Amino acid sequence: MIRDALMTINTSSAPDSGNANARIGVPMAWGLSVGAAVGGLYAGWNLGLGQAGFGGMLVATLVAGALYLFLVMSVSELVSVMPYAGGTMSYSLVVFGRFGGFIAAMAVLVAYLCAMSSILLGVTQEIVKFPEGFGLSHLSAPLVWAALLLLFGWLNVSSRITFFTTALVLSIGALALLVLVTAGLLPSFSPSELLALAVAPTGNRWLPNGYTGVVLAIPFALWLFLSIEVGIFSAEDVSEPQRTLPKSLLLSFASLLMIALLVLIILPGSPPGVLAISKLPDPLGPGLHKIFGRSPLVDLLTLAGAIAGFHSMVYASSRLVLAMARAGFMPASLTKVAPASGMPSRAVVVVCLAVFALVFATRFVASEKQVVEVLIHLAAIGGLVSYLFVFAAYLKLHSTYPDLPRPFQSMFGATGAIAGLLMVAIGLLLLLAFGEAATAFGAFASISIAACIIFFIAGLGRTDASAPEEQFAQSLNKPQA
Amino acid sequence: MQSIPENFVQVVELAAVLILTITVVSELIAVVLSRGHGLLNLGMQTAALAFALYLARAWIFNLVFASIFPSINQFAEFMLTITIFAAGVGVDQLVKYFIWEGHFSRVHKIKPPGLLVGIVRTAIYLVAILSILQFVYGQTITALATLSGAFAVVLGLSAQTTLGEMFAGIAIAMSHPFHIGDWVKIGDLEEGEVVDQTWRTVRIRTRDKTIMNITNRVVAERPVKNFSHAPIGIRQSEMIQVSNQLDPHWIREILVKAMNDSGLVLHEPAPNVLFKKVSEGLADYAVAYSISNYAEKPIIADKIWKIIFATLQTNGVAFGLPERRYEILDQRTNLKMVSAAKDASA
Repeated sequence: MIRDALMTINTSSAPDSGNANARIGVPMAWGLSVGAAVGGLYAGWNLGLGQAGFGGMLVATLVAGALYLFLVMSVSELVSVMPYAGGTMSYSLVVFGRFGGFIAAMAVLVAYLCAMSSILLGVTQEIVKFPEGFGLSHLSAPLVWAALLLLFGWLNVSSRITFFTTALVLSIGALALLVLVTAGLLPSFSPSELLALAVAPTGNRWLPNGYTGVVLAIPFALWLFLSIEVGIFSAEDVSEPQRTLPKSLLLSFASLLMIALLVLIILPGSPPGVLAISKLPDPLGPGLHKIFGRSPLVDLLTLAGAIAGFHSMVYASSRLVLAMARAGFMPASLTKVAPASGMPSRAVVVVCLAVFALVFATRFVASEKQVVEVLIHLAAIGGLVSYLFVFAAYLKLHSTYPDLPRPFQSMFGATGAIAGLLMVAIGLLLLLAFGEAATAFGAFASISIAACIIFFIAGLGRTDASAPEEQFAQSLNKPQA
Repeated sequence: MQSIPENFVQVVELAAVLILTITVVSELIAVVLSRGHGLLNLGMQTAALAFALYLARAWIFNLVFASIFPSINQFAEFMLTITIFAAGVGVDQLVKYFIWEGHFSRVHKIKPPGLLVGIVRTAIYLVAILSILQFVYGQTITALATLSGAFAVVLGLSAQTTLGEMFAGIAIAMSHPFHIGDWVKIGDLEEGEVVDQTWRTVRIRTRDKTIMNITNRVVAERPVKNFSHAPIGIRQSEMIQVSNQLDPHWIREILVKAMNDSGLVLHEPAPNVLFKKVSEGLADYAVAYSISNYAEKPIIADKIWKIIFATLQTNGVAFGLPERRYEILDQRTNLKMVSAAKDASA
């Protein structure tokens, strides 16, 4: 009975363009997920080296890898049961009701908007300098923001195939560049350089700062995989999401883990050495310069990961906005899709405008560096909180509806979800205790409180029966009543 | 005293210990929340964690366990013991999941014989304990083999009959002439339902609801007639007698129709009425039918008799009453006397 309900809802909720979906298979969905996370391999993780040394960072990476394996498995099972564009919001809405769905949506939205804003600020910093190399004057930052947003906004509206092909090309390009750089550095790689950091009294060469270092490195290791879950937001755009998405998510995780270990071992073991790499804003820079020489164009290559991430996140946020509008959390007019491409044009515009507003607001703050730091922390906090919702939804669904048909089943079951929940909770605590992220936590708490107030004042608790999530939730409850 | 990983392998051990600790804690929570499900995983993961701790003893002993264990060797012994024992629990649960609950209960819909379960479980834990003694505490297997050999001789002599029963039980469990819940007749003993098989006996619940314990050796030696796995139903027959003046075809027709309409008997093989013999004034018929549920045999027979009785009655047939004609010739009176006598006992 539940299976029948599931089938009818699955088919009825998919957007009208059945034929266009047929071409979006595993490789394209893989490109979307890898693209979202690959930026973490380009920058950010290397700061963990300074905290924990090579050995400690390796431990932190393996632990973070375990967390993301649990996440990818759990989220794959959820998306195979509920293939809706809202992703985390949809699962929370079905399992925890409208308030849970709204808060989950808020967490994801905060994570992606802040991540996009920090990427946009970082990328623009590089791009405005670009003409200088040719003796031209600085570009205006707001102009670059607008241009980038227009470009990626357009890619997200034009057509499904264009978008996914771009995502695939960007991801393959970003991964290929990493492989190329590590291969180019291999001749000058020396294992002893990995252990060349100064050793504190509590440590040794492998763990220069002892166990504290490992603990401090974990938030940085999370960067290697952060946002890999964006694939779930494509549930209504890919063909056979129940099979395509679990496969593509697991493949994305496997490819990221392999390349991450490669980068983690080769980069610090090559010149300019582990100490320099642990402090660079672009750890890939020295390798790129060694292979391609120094030129402004080569400097732009270090942005490949960030650009791929931006492309994927505009997409994921717009699908989330679409799902929120469909569930009645946002104006219904945002559900409109472009007639030619079937892409949610208004939602894309709203996302781009929001990012622009957020980035523009930084103009009025004293230090852009501090703002970027807060934005990055907010992205991490929002992401981790949304993982809490994923694992909790997984557990609740398992205990309440154990007999629900699950086209994909997590290898780790409830244990994986409990382990993930524990690890995310520990990660949040670490970030709060040692991450110097007090401002971001304060901001996140304020946003959450504001979201709660909006929820109750605007009366968002009213059921909107047209949303596929609500229909699914009703079909779940019917046989029991 | 080293308390930090100081080479690549030890760093990987640290990662493994961290991850396994979290999964074991999670599995424990999952087992508690689901009231006992997932013991298999818990066993396997505990084994993996204990093994990782064993491998990591060089640095983790001083870090965490130095205040608990007096020496690193005892720590290593303890962890290996847990590893092997938890692996044993895991194998036991694996067998439970795939063989007892899987092969028997899910595939063949039968209860696994308690005897077989007991023997296999004992064997698993015996192997685990012997492995612990051999590999952890360095007791050589030769000593153990000699010990167990001597033990076996003493045991064999002193408990010959009991052991005989046990091996007969294993033989029965292997050839499975019946399963728990089957209706059987063993030798010339009373028929009944098999309720259990233990180390020593097969328990059968007879028709009068008493439990009959038959020792395994007796069961192994006697022919076992199993009523529960007949491929095409079990044939039953009831004998009736009616007047020999009636048309056998007609009798067959009405009784077969009545039985087919009753819904009590199998349609395939079809019920039949066989003309057996004619005796003085009577015709004997066998009313044959097939049933699938042997446990219901007496109840079905009762209903079948009621149907036969009612059918014959509505068709105006009286149950067999022998008719005899006597002709007595009196020469003196030339009187011919005809008398008809009725004798129910004929």
